[in-house]
Amino acid sequence: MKWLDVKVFRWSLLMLACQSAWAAVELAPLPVYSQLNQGGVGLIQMPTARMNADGDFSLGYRDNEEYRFWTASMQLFPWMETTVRYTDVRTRLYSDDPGFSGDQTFKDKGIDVKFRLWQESAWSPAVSAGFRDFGGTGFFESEYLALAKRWGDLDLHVGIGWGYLGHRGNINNPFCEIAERFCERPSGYRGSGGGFDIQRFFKGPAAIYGGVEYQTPWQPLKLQLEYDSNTYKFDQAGVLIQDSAWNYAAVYRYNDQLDLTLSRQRGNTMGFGVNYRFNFHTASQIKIAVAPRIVPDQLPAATKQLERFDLSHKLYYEAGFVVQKYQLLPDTVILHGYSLNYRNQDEFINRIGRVLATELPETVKSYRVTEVSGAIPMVETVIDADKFVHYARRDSLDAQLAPAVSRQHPAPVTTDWAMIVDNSGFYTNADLFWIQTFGSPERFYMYQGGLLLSAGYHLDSNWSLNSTVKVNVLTNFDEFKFTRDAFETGVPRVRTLVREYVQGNDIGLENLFGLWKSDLQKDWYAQAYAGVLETMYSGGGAEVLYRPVDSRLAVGVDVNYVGQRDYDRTFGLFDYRVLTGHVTAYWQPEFIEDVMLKISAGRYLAKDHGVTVDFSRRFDSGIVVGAYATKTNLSAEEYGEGSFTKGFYLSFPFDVFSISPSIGRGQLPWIPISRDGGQQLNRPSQLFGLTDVRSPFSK
Amino acid sequence: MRSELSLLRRVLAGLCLFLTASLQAQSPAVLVELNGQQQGYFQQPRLAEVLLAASSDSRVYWPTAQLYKLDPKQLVAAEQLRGAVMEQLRLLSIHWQAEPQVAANLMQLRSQLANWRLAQPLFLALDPDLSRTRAEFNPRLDAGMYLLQPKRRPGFITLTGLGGDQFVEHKAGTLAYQYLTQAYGIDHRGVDDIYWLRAGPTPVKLPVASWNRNLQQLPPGSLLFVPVPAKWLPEPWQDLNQQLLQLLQSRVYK
Repeated sequence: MKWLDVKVFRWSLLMLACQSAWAAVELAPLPVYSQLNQGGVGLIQMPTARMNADGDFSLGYRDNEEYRFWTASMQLFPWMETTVRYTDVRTRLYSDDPGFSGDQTFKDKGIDVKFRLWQESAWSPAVSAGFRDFGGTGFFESEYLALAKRWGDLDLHVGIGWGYLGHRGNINNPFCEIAERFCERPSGYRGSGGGFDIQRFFKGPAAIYGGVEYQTPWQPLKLQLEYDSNTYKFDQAGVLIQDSAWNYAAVYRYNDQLDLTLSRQRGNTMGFGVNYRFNFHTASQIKIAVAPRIVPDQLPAATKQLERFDLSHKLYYEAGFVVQKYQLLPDTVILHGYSLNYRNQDEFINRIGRVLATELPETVKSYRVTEVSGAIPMVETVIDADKFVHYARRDSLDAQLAPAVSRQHPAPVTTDWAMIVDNSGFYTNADLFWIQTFGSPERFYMYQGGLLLSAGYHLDSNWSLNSTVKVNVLTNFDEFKFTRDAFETGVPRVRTLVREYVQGNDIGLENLFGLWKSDLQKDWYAQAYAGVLETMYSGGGAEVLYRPVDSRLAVGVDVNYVGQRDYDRTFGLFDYRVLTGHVTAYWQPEFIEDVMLKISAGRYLAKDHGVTVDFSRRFDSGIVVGAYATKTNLSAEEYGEGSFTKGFYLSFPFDVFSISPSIGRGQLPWIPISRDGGQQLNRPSQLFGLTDVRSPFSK
Repeated sequence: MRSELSLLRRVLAGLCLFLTASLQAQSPAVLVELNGQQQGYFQQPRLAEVLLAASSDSRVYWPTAQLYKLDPKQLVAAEQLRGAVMEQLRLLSIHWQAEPQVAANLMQLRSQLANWRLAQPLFLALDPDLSRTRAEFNPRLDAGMYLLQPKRRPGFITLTGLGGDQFVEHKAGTLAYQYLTQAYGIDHRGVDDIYWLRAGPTPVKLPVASWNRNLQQLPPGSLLFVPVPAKWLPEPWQDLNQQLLQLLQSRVYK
C-alpha cells in the first residue's frame, strides 16, 4: 500500500470513528433442544454439548420400566446449564422396614451442571463439559466432554464419559495415560456426602458415546439415535439387560412449550416422557389495567381548584399509588406514599406523572414523589413537569422519560402537610402459605398449607406490635412416623427438630414481637425487635443497614440473643440460648449484570462460626434464581449428611402469572438436606427487604 | 442630503427585515415529500396528520411504509460515512488486486453505494389507525423536511450485498436461508449469517449456513443484507460489514 493510500486509509478510519455508534444487532432466536431422560439438553440417555437459550427453563417427566425421573433444568447463563432431579427407582423399596417407609419405592435426588467451553462455528464443533449427580449418593455420577456439529438437518454428537457414562470402557481413559491416579475411580464419598467429590472426577473407566438428531421435513418431529456408553451392569435398579447399545427416540414438539418423547432403550425397554418449557426472560402474562391517562394539549389552568381526596383516589386507581402525605406548594407538589401495583419503575412514574400533569395547575413545575416503606421515607423521585409533559404528549420525535426523572434520598419537608394519613392504629392481614418436602420416607410428597393471620398495632411510624397465627388447613404431616432423626453428631439440634414444630397443633403462634425501626440519618437505617420471632426461636435483636439510593453496594449488621421455643408454639422456651448475628454485604457487581452476591459472616444458631455466600441472577421478567452455601467451623462429620448447608430458591413476581399488575413476589425454596450447622435465625423483619425500593434488584 | 440618505437606508433595511420576517413566518415548519409532491405544515403536525395524506390510497401496505427525515446535519453524517466506506472498499479492492474477481466484486459494491439515496430513517410505527387512536404512537414531528414512502404490498424479498439488489418471490413457509440460495448473483458460499433489516432500529442476525441455520420465516417486503465474506476482510477491514449495515439503514428504497 502506498503512503498516500495509508494516509487516506487512516483518514477514512478516523471518519468512521467519528460516526455515531454502529448499528446494534439482535440475534435470531436460538433453536430449542430437547431434554434427555435425566434432564438437561441431550439425546435419550446421553448428554450433548448443546445449550438452550439463556433463561430457558424445562420441567420434565420420564418413565420407563426401572426409573421415573422428575427433572427441572435451566440455562442459568448462556454458558451454564443446571439440572436438579428426583429419581424413583421402581425396582427397589425405600427401606427394608415397611414400618418406616411402607411400600414406597426408593427415591434419590441429584444435581447436574454443564459448561460450554467452545461455541460451534463453520468448521469447529460446540464443546461442553458436564458433571452429573455430583456429591451425595451419586447414582448417576459421571463426567463427560461432548462435541456437537450440525450439518443441515442432522445434528451430530460425540462424547467421552467417565463414571456412570464410562461403564462400557470402550477406550482407555486418556487421563490415565498422563497420570496413574486417573486409572482407578475411588469409591465412596468424602465426609458425610453432599460435597463435591472432585477426587473421583475423570477417573476410572472411560467410554466413547455418540448420536445423531434428525430434523424431519415435518417441523414438529425430530428423530434421535444414540450409541450408549453405559452397560447398566452397575445400576441402582439392579443389573439391567442390554440387548443393544443403540437407543432411539422420536420427539414431537406439540407447541413452543410442550415436547412429547417416545423411546426404545437398551433394545428391550420402552420409555416415554413429557417436557414443559418456558423462558425466564420472556415469561409474561397479558394484563388488564387502567389505560395510562392521555395528557391533552391544554393543561389545567392555574386557578383550578384541587380536590385533594379526588387526586388521591385517582393516583390509587390509575397509578396504584397510595398517598399518605401530601403538600401543594406554588410550584411543587410533594407526595409520600407507597406503590401497590406497578413494579416497573418507569411505568409507575409514567402513570403518576400523567395523573399529576392533568390534575395540577400548570404552574406546578416539579412533582416530588417519595416512596415510603414501613412508614419510613425511602426514595424520592423528582419529576420535571415540563419535560414530563413534553414526553407524555410526544411533543417531539425523541421525547424520553429519563431526562424528566431523577431519584434521590428523600429531601426533608419543612412545610406543614395539607393531608396526612395517621400511621397509628390496628391492622390485620391474611396470607396463604404452602410448605412442601420431597423424598420423605413416609411419602414422596409431603405438604402443609393454610393461612397466616396477622394482626398488630402501630403506635406511630417507628413503633409497632405485630403478631401472626398460623392455621393449618391442608396437611399430611400427621403421617410422620418419626419427629427426630437418628443422626446424633453432638451439634445442638437447632433446626432438625422441625417436624416437632410443624405437626401437632393446627393453630400455633408464629410470631409476636415489638418492633422499632427508623432512618438514623441519610442512607442509614436501624431496627430493634423483641418477642416471639419465628417458629422455633424467641428473643430480641437489632439491625443496622447502610444503603445509598441506587447503589450497587449495601452493608448490614445484625445481632440477636434468642432461646429455642417449646414445640407447642406458645410462649415456653427450652434451655438452649444463643447469641447469633452477622455482618452482611449485598453487592450487585458492575462486571456481571443482573447478579447479586450476598456474603454474610458471623455466628450461627448452633454457635458455629462461618460464612454464607448467596448468589442470585435476575432475568428480564423479574424472576430471580439463587443458590447459597454456608461453611462454618464444623467439620463435615460434625455437620452430618450433606457436609454443609446449601440451598436453592426461585423468586417470582406474581404478575408474571396474574392478569392484574402487582408488586408481590413468591418464593420457592429447595433445600436438598437441612441439618443444624450454618443455620440462621429467620428474623421477622429485615431491613434489606424493607429498603428494597432504594436500589431494587428483583424488579 | 447625507442624513436623508441615511434615513432612506434605514427605511430600506427595516423593510427588508419586515419582508424577511414575513416570509419566514409563512414558510412551513414541516415539509413532507410524498409521491414526488411536497406537503407543507405551518404548525408542527402529529404523525397521524401526516399519514392521513397517504391513507386515501387503500392499497398502501403500511408494514413496509417508511418515513425518513431529510435533516441536513444527519445527511452530512451519512454522506461522510458513505465516503469513508467507499474509500474502505477501494482500498480493500487494491488489497485483493491479485484476485481480480474479488476486487471486481468489491468495486461493484462500491459503485452501488455511490448511487444510494441516503436519509435519516425514523423507526416509527406507521399505521394511520394506530397513530390516530393511541397517543403514544402519535408523536409530533420536529421542524424540518421529511420523506414519506407508502408502498403497496410487495410480492418479493430483497437481498442486497455484493451481487447488488436481488429480488426473490416471497412464498409462505419459505425459510430465510432458502431465499438466499434462490438469489442469482449473490455468492452465498461461506456466508454464515445474513442480516434482516426490519422496520426497527436493530437489524436481526439470521444464521443461514448448514451448521447454524434456523427456521426463520420472513414477511413480504423484507430486506436482507448479505455481508461481505469474512475471509475477504483482513484485520483492518473487519468492521466493514457493520459499517455497510449502518449505511443500509440510512438507505432510501423506492
